[in-house]
Amino acid sequence: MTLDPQQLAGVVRVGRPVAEPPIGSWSESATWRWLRWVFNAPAAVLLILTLAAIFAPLITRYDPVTPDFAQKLLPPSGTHWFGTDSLGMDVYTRVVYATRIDLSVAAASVLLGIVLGSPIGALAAYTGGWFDAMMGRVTEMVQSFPAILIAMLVLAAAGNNLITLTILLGVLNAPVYLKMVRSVALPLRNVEYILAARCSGHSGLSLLWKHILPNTLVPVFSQFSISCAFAIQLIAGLSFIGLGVRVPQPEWGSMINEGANYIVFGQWWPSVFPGIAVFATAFALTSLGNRVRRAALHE
Amino acid sequence: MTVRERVSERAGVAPGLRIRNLWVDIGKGAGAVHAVRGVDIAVQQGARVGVVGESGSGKTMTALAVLRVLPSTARVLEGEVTLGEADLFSLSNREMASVRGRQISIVFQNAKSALNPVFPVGEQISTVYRRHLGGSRSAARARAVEILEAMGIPEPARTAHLFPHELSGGMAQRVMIAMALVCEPAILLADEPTTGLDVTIQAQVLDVIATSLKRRSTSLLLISHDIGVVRGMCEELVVMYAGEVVESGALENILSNPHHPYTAGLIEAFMATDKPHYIPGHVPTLRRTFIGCSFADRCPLANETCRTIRPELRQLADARLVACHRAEQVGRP
Amino acid sequence: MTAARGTPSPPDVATVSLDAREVVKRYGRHGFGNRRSIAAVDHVSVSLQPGKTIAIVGESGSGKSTLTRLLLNLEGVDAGEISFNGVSLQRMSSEQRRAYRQSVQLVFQHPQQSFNPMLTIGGSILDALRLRDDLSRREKQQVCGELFELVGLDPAMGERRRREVSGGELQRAALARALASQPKLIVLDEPTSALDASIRGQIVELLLQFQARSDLGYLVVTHDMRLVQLMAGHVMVMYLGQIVEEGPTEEILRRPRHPYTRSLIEAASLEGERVRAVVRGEVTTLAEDYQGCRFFDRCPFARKKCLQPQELAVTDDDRHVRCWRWRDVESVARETEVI
Repeated sequence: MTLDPQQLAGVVRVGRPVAEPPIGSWSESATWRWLRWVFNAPAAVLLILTLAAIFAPLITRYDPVTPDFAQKLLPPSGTHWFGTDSLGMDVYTRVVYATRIDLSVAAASVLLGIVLGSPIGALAAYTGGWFDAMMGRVTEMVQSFPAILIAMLVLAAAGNNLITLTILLGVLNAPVYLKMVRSVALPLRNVEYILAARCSGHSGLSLLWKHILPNTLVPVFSQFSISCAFAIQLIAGLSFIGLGVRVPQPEWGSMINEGANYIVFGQWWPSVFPGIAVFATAFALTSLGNRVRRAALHE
Repeated sequence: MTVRERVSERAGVAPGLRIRNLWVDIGKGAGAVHAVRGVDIAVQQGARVGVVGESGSGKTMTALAVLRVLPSTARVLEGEVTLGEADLFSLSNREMASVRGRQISIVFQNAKSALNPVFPVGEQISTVYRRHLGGSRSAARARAVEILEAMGIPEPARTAHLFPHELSGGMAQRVMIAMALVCEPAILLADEPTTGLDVTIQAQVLDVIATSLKRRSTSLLLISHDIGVVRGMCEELVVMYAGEVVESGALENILSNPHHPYTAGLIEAFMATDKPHYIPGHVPTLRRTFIGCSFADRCPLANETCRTIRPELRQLADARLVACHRAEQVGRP
Repeated sequence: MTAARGTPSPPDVATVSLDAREVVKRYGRHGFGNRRSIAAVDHVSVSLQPGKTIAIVGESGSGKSTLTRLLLNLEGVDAGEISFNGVSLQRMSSEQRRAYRQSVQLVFQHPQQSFNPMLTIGGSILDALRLRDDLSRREKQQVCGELFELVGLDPAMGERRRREVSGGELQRAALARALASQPKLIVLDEPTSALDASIRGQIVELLLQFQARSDLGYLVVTHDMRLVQLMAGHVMVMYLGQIVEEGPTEEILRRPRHPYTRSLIEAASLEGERVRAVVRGEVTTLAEDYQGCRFFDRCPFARKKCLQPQELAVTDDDRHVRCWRWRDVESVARETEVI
């Protein structure tokens, strides 16, 4: 039943807004400027890294896993840009291939953490009561142990492979997102637009899905990059002590480990280049996360 | 010679505040907001001037500019602010810091967030006192309790130990007024001091301000969007719109006989009890530059001159200043 | 006349009503024993009907906002009953609930807060149309455009988000959203308080027009006496959860009979008179078991008798006061010419 235009004609003048740029709106170029600022240098770095990971075979010349003892410990040169390591493998090639493992395991595990933690967090905020209290205790338990320690125990017990590692890191990340989504969703329960949605007939699942969860996206997204940064450092740290990724799979942490013995002898390149890679990735991810968060705050 | 001396001694009469041709921008470049556009306000010593305006009128920015506490993105483009003989814009940061709270004080809208949450309120007052007037801690503390009592706070000694969040809105506002008046400044700026409080409390807080000012004949610049608030407190009125002063003069005269269409519309909207009155349209954004009068697109009297030539503030009879080409057609002669 | 008990009334029948009877709402820890303070809403009764406007006046702590949430079933009552067309809100079938949601809407105080920042304004209004399942998607778009026009908004506003829209325009959009489901009753919580004075009249005028055209019933919750005068035929004054006075607007404003009502009117500076303080102190928290008059510690008319329970007594046909000294209050008001 649509409104009758005749009825509309009876509406007396109600002060039409003056035609001019609306308050606070962004012109096209301003939006572009904003996007460029947010996704600038750190994003470029990550983009390069991702492309490197995908197109690894195209940008490297050597085999990343086959040793060649004749070529061991050659310094950086025209043929071996980052030199070779103690097994004679080209460091540059291994750094590039390691990007695959590091980025994908980190991203997958953090995503797993988000998928596990967010809905539970939203549900805990929405239902409250014993469920919320119980989830609080569970997250406290998980978070009270140092990650490395849990990782060592679990990997030793359940098998030292990438799948276990990913699942483990996912579970370790879940509490962060549970708490984050919960803390965003809690004050939302009483905010006016949620009440308005309930007045429009939303409840339970439709409310969570349409109104509450989308508002948790931004903090989750900015936390995502930062979690990835931590995950990469954790992966690198674990393989440094021999857990997680196994030899001869290229992984930044294990490469740093292998090369560590040779720094004393002046052969810095097997450790330093993967180290730079870890640093650059973690830094870019953290910067990106911070930028997204700051951009969201300005709204 | 210290600032204090310059301000209070060299002036033959006690210092009055004078704002001349103030222009303030927020932000830079294409997106800059021209918040204050050529504002002139004078507050004689002992006078009480009300500034009335709605959102976007620039009244708050004007007050902040006087104290030089504008947000970091804001810039004063032009203008002069003098207190007595002292040009406030030419003072160093240090000198200005000694003026704030001592010669000129300000009270803001939301007291609970304007007060420091981690210190008891008595301590905050005594800190201000000691900073400007020195003395021992116990003397300052005694003075703080004294002024809390003057503000009509029951059990002032006990209240002095409370934290801002433990106070009600009205109490917190009185504490803020106490802080502002403890050093007996020459002038008090009050920016929406009662907005957000219950109406019954608003009346009490205004009474407190009025009594405290009368005691020392402190001047008052009271900024509000509510004509009722200003009416009981001030003799002079300044009406601001879109960053400019559109009318100023004696308050009662303006209310009974406004000469600017905006003032007339505003008063009508306030007083309406039989049917709703309003000014059509809405307050313009200040990112734009105006050609002609900023009120022209909402004004029932606007003509071609209004739309092309910006009206200057000019004098009508009885010390009334109006910025309107058609001021004579508004109101009674 | 009325529909049979338990079946929902279609929204365009004029027998829609929302009744609250002796409603009580408490805050405090449930299930941990003692509830420490007095009820936020204490035995309040009000009845909304199409075509009529009731105003509820009070300040912070009066319970008026809580009451709006209870009426919209956003929170449950602790005692008493709220019924829509005779059916209690607690005992509705899903079909009845649907009819209820369609017929009763709420407009909030802060226009910014009442819109989801992630949705466009148009998207929010479309979301509100989900109750109109008689419409196809395209029809909903059309209705959305019509609603925009009805409240005097540029249809291009539909593409913007809340941060790009001014307060006055957002409040119009909030009105459009409230009207989307074609309600018969609208509860308005401080609808103009967050707006500039010069444009408040725009919203009020819109509201009056819609009421005239569609026979809407309003419950306006406010502290602004001027708004009450412009819109409401009937007023209820609340203080700390209780109704302290109610009656026709004209009567109450001219001859208030409760000291608190009088202080509100004085402070409201009607006619632009200067704001005067006639009451001391502030809203206090009272213990749960206190039975006497809640205005006692601030009241200039207080006597020892006020510490006893005060009833909401009938004084005239349509006026109730919760004060045994109402005659004194009324005569003082007349002396000082409160108009």
